[in-house]
Amino acid sequence: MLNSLYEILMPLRAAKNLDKLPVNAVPAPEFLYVHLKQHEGAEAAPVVKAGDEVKAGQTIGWAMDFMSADVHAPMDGKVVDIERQPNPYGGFSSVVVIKTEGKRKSVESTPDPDYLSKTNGELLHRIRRMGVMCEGPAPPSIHSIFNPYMCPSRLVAHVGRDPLPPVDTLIVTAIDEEPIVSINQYMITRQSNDVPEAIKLMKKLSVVTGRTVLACLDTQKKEAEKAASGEAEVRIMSGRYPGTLRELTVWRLTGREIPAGASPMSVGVAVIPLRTAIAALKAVRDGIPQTSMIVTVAGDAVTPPQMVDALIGTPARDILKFCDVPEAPIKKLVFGGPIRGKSQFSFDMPITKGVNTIVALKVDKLVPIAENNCINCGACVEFCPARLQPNMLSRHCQFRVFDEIVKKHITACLECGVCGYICPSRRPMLQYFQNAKQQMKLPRKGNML
Amino acid sequence: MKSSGLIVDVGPHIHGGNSIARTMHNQIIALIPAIAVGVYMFGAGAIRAIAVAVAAAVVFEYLMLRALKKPASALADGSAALTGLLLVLMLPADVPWWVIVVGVGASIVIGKMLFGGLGAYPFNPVIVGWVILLLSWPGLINKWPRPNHMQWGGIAESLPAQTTIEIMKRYGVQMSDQFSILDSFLGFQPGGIGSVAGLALVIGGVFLIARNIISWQVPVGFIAGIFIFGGIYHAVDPTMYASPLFHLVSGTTLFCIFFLAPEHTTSPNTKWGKILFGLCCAALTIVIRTHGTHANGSARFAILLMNLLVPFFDRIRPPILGLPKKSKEAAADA
Ligand code: SF4
Ligand code: SF4
Repeated sequence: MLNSLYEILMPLRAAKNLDKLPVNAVPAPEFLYVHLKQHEGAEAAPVVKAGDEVKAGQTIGWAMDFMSADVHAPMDGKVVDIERQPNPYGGFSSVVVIKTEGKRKSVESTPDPDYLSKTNGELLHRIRRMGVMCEGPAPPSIHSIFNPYMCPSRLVAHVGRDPLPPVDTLIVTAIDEEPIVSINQYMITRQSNDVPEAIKLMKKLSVVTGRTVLACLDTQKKEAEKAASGEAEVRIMSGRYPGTLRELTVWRLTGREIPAGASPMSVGVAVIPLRTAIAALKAVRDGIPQTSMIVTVAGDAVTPPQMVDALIGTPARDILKFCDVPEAPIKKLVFGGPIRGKSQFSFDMPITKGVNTIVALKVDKLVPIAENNCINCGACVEFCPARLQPNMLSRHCQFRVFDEIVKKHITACLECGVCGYICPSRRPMLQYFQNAKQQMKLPRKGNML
Repeated sequence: MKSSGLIVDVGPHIHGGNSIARTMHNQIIALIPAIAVGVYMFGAGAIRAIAVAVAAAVVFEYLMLRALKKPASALADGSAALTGLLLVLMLPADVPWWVIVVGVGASIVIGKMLFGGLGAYPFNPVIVGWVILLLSWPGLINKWPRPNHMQWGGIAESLPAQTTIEIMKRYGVQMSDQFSILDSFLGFQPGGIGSVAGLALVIGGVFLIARNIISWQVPVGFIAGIFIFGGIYHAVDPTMYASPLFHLVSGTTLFCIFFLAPEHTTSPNTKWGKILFGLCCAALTIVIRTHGTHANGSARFAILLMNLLVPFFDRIRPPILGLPKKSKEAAADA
């Protein structure tokens, strides 16, 4: 009974059965716009110049720190220009514009069957050189997952704390954080052959001393058990947002709470999404760099939802055209999930390694967001996964009493957006919190800048 | 890169669909059974009173919005109409129209808008308006008409119409025993237009809980409190103190439980805070009813007092996620 009431207010569940959709490859557009900043940390340095011929899979940008990864040319072609352009995740960054030639073809690979005998350092290095990142608003690099000491911004939260404990739990999750997003579920059904090896690789990289868990949705239990083939213990978790967030996955599986702003490593847990694990495996075993993304295209302007395989740098316009989605009714175009994704101002915005979903919305039924009064209904307090008081916090933000929100531990906010989703007043909750954190120079979740 | 005229804003890009208007309209819908009972019992007088109250509430709200330079579109959310409706349902059906207008004006102007409007007031504006009326014209708003369709038995017939609680206070528990609990629950007792219609109010309250407009914690805490504290008194001396069931179905108790106590702005918003709030309201109700002089408005006075303590109830909350153990106390202070 209570459960069903909860469903009325919070119908946000992980997408189901999208993983069974056929995945078609989007043909290469005439021009690819490959951003050199597709990650947190510094922008990659370009190693090609205008006029150069590039081959598919050739490195075009060098990662400058451990929070980032190399950038590769997705296709054969010619570099037309390197220019500054708006980044889908905010700000401006350099873009390598590649005029493509011919058909899409697979990239050249440099297989290394003997990868398990390499040291972890060598493996991490190779993964970084192959450009493997997680997806999401600020995709963490493999380095920052397994070796936070290398990543200054992840370390801030550790200053003054004890050294990181050894990793005793490794969580490979096949659950997507947000509704609609379905890339990790897709991996379980479609690439199950690689799952055991990927888990083995992750065990090696994380030097896990205790158990390894493969978290999956109840609908995928059978597939997951088959795919894990004894490498990991399969745990079924509910796909209800925001419980699917990495922080809460850790909490639900181990009972440990990650300190605000710290990485899961600080409680001895490593969490890695299955797609990233498989991409890392392909990088070290087959030598395949990450040059494309499997993108779910959904939203109320898209019926039915579709999954496509698009090259990095393909403008959203081409993907929508390939999916037969008319542009005219679309009022909002979101890269990433419908809750925490970034809305784009132009259909020409190219996708990056962070984009696993494109949500096209008509936005005709929504009451617009406005600075309405909080009516203190308590819904946000009830549903906030960080157990904060978003009603009070948002009032302080609204009237710019920023000292008070620091005292009330805004740093614990996961920026999950649940408070904004259920607020009857349609207050711009997430905007308040993100703005306040920016003003107070507090660490943000999911911010690349 | 050209802009494509798309909307750019911060997530969440989808919304659960709840709105202030939905909240208020649902509460008005939930009052329909109570209104129907009121019309059945008091006839056209009830319709007249309700019409006056709702119209006055909307006019006052509009004037205040204009005076405070707020957009008049806020009228459409129905909160003013709800305030007027709730107030008039507690008044006698034949109360003069100007009393209704003054009461509604006090609710909207003093209780609600002067504090900053919806969401900002510390006291339930409906109760504020009612208290102002009670202090100004106690004779007028406590003079109950005899409801139609009600069987009067025994001595009560020869007395002026009084609420069952007044009879209990003045003539003792034995006297009030002649009203059957079931009759009272069905609404056959003297009182306000809709505030004594027990069953109809319960239907409305369950509707609100099922629609997730109000949370179940406050009503459940309140009802449990009535049984606990009323039960303790009753157990001590059944000839002196009425039974908890009597307390539950008589007067405005059920109206307060489902419509006044869980009011969003003036109730706590943590789970245990709400339950405790309900329990405390119930305890005060019983105490005021048993020992106080204003037995008639006991539940409303209890809520008014407890509104003051809401910030303290809000402190009863789980520790914040991921905060180090030692600063958990510090978090509770924040
Ligand atoms: S975004 Fe809102 S609901 Fe989510 S953690 Fe932050 S305050 Fe809580
Ligand atoms: S959900 Fe919105 S209106 Fe309700 S308490 Fe939170 S901020 Fe206030």
